[in-house]
Amino acid sequence: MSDTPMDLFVGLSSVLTGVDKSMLAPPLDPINIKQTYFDYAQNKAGATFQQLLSIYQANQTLPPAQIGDIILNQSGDDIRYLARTVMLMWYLGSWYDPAELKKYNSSKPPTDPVPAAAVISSAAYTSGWSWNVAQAHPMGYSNFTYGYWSKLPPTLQDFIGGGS
Amino acid sequence: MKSRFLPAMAIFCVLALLVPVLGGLQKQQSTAPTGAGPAQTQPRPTPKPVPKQTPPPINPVVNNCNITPPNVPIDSSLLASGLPCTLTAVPPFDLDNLQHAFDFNSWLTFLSLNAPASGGVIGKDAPTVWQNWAEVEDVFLPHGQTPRPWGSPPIRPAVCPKGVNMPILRMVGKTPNVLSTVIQPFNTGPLIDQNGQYVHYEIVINKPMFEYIVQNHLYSQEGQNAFAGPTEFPEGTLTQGTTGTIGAIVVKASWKVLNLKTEKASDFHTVKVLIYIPPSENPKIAEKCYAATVGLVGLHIVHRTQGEPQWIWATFEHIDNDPSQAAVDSHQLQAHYNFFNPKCTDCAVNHQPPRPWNPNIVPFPKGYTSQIVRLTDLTDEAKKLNSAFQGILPNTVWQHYMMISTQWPTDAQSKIDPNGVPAPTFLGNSTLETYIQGTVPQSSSSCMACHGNATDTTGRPSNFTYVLERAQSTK
Repeated sequence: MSDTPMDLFVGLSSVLTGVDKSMLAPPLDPINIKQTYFDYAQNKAGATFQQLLSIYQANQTLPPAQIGDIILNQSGDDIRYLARTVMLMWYLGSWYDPAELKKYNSSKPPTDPVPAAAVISSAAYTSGWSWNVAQAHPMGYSNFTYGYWSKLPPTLQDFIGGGS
Repeated sequence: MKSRFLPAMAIFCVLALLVPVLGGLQKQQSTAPTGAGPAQTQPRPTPKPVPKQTPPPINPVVNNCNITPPNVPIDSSLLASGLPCTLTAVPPFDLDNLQHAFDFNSWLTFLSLNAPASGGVIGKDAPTVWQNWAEVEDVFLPHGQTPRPWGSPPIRPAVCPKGVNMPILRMVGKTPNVLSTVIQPFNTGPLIDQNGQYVHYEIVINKPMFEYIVQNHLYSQEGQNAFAGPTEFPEGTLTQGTTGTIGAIVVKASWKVLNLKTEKASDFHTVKVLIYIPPSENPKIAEKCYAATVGLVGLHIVHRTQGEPQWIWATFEHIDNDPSQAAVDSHQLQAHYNFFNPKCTDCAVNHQPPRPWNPNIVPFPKGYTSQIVRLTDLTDEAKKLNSAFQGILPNTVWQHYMMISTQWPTDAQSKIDPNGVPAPTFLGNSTLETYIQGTVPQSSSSCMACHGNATDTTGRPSNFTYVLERAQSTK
């Protein structure tokens, strides 16, 4: 049973992103981006963030799809859009204000094609999971050795963990 | 025997080896038939095949690996504990405890490699074990020539004074260009001390790494082309007890020229050297070679081991190099630093010197000196460990050195990060990566992230070392 706020955050994040917990929070984690994200969300969304963690805590034994349904469809707009923000934070390393996201789900969305966002840190940029899901790497930054572009990338499972 | 410092002794040894051979030749000649006669009709003797010399093992088994665990008290018994072949760690295997184990390993390695080359434990200021290793300039020779055997004295540029038995600080650096004797990685610029003198650099490799390069013919471009690869330098291993192999080790050192009138040699590991400045057309720099006493100010020790195929990256500095940013901010400054003037309030911090850069013009024109600040301070744990090890080196030059940190792979087998997810993510030495300190990915100094990009002259990844790109063509 996960009890610490960080454990809850990692568990919640795994459900929202589909990425294995061991990949979001490796046993040896020198980058520790999870702490960066946790602190950022706590600072930006305080009480709603705590409420989101509580909802996850109360339902964490359910299958991921059910947890997702509860969070995204049954807990109100504040929770729904904060959960989307958390997903985007992990995937893009940026913070999208939940209220801004909500505007884009209205009958009259903003004309800007993409909502305003803040890159959380340089480490957040290079840690964005969108790159891993694409079996790629961030623009301007790669860990792979010279000539990697001429070879097939590792498998998706290598990138995001979990079962095949 | 410190052969690099005793070329005369090496010549004597060569002569001693040649005397019996020459003697044998003389004897043959004296018994050969003279003049015309039956001897001329004798069939020529079949020449005996010259026995092919078996090359020495690249990574020989040793039985004295240092396996001291990192949780023992730090006392003088560690001075003689020897060189770790690989990491020894104890539970719990969490990030902090493993960092301590690697840092402890770095200090043990420092103690071992800075022992006198002539024998004994670390203490007196004498040429060290690693100073007896092969300089990369003597491995990657013009026209891809075969390096001379291990232990040969350094190749002396003709401009250097003859009969002066001193090591030579030559054009060494990670970038093998003409100014690499004084310019740091990526041509980021030279470092100028408070006397206006350029800092000089050298890279040496140990015997397993040397033999791997030589026996695989990686010292020339043609040899690298013919090599089937992949390049995997030998690893330090531990097989049983204290038995194992040392593996490949690279040392990179930075030295400042000492002004013996104003600086205390007893504060530094010193050596009398010949400083060689190679000629250059652009920029115009004249060839020069002169004697100087230099003091060690920075030291990278990089070791490839069985659990760390991305190598272990330890870095040390002289304690008086420069203040941390925190010390500057809190105005807690020493009276003197090697690379920082505490009285200068408007000096540009961590900036390259103005061009042109000509190491023959010293002191640097217009009184310029570098103003260097350490952007990432040592951790409290590293400071504590440094104090403990400095405490077992009292009244020696070695008490004036500190470990900055050790970078190691937290996930050596990662399939999506060949660099092994290094910890700490960034690490730099203020004398070796002066201008790329910080925490910006791809820009700031990270040993593994940088060296993971290294290739040989064919474009093949070269196993975290740039030295192979120095190979020249035999044509």
